Amino acid sequence: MDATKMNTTTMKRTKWFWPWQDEKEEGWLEEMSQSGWHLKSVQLPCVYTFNKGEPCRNAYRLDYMLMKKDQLTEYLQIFQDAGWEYVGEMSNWRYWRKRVMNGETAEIFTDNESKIKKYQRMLVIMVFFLIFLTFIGTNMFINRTWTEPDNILLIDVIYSLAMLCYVVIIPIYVVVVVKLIWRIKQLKQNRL
Amino acid sequence: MSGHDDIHQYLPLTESTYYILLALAEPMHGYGVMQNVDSLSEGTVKIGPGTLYGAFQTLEKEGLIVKVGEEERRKIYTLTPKGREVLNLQISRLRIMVRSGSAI
Repeated sequence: MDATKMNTTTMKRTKWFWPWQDEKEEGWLEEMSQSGWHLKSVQLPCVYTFNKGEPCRNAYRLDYMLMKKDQLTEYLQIFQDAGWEYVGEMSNWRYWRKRVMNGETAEIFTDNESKIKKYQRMLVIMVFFLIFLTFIGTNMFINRTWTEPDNILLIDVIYSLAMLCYVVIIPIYVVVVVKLIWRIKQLKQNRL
Repeated sequence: MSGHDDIHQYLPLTESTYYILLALAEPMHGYGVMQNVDSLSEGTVKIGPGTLYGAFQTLEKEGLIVKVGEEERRKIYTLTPKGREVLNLQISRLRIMVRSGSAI
């Protein structure tokens, strides 16, 4: 699952995470920092670049939000004023880091409501994609008139592959949506 | 009657929202709000930047706060008359809570 490229000072790693498991991802980045690998940048598709440095205790936090450019300026400023260092952005996930001083906890969300809202933002996007894909998929199934089996065209192959994707991708989105709803429900019951 | 209900739908405020509104009785930017909440609450409430940014967006949309300026990329907000009204209602609710609590 993990692909690692490494030399003495930088390391690239490709790692996938599910949107309801962002806290696990934060924990992993914190462990990396404790072993001296500090996140330098993130880019699609899930490529993390680390720099080697002194091992230290860093808090990593992930935020999820769609943002316009003028909103971003204000957003970044508020976080930086609060002492957070911006690492980067990857498909609307923003990665934040802060040095943890003795026993202090560092949180970007300090109440349950705002934490819940983060997952609700993800949920809205995922539901949107789910509806979009279902719509496209359904239209392809209904409107496609199949050619005779002895006359298979390239277009049929493409369509078949597309169908297969929908059969796989749509269930994945359903799982993501259900998991996010579950996570929100958990938070609402205050079981952090 | 409808105007009356309108204001009450925001109550009770969460602890974070209460302190954010309290801080914004004076025009202030995000960093100021975070520091102010810390001192106003005597250290009992900390506002993280994610929570604050979200609160600014929500409160502005609800018309409880408004942008009044900008200072070195920092947006300055303050209470609207509606925001002040909500805050005052919350304060009187809190007074009742403290009064009834002092009886024991």
